[in-house]
Amino acid sequence: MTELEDGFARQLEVDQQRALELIKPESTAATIITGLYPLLRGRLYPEGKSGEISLAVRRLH
Amino acid sequence: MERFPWRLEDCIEGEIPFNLLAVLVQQTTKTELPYVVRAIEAIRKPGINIVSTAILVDWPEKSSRTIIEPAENYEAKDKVMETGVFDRIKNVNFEFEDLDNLDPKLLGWLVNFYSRQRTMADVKRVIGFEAKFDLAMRQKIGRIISFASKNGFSLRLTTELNPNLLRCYGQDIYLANLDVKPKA
Repeated sequence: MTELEDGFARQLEVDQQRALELIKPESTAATIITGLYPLLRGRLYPEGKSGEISLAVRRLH
Repeated sequence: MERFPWRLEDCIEGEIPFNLLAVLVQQTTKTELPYVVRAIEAIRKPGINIVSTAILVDWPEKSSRTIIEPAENYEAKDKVMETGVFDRIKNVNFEFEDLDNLDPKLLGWLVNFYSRQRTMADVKRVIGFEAKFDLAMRQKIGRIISFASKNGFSLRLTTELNPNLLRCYGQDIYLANLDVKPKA
């Protein structure tokens, strides 16, 4: 695995762990996340503040 | 933007529609489609109201971009319909006005991104137009999907080889980039 590939895989693993921490274990949402994330390349986008700012700006217009 | 897992729970517990928008390139639909179908099946669970749309994009290979004409690929459209997982299909083609209003910061970023992957001869010859074309397509898809996602929660599925390119679609909607690279 190249350094780049390794980076994407690590990001995804951390993202999945964080997502699962936010919801009830064994819920439907947890089943979806557990099924979906292994099919991904890189974490879900956008991550963090930039997404929140973008949505807030959109709501103002 | 609320965190994805919370929005997912809202869709399961309430009546909020879950819009799944899968971006498929006409020219590579056959390869990408099984991965997209698998992702939709992973999300389609009892109690979740999924509205699935295939965004079928005519995105020609770099070598054939000197002539850009809309080309509806009926074979690709048939393959998408045959899966039985999509409620609707939307076709997207390049138009020259898509080159207007490109985000200059993103364009600069994309030129640098491509430059790191090519030789200097390539950089001088093609990268200017290639970056503009690719950014125009991604921004157009981003706009179309934002418009199509006004009601409910939306998740867009893409198949970029490099997830860093996701920034070119905009940040209004969550993007899940599917791994379509054959495993070594």
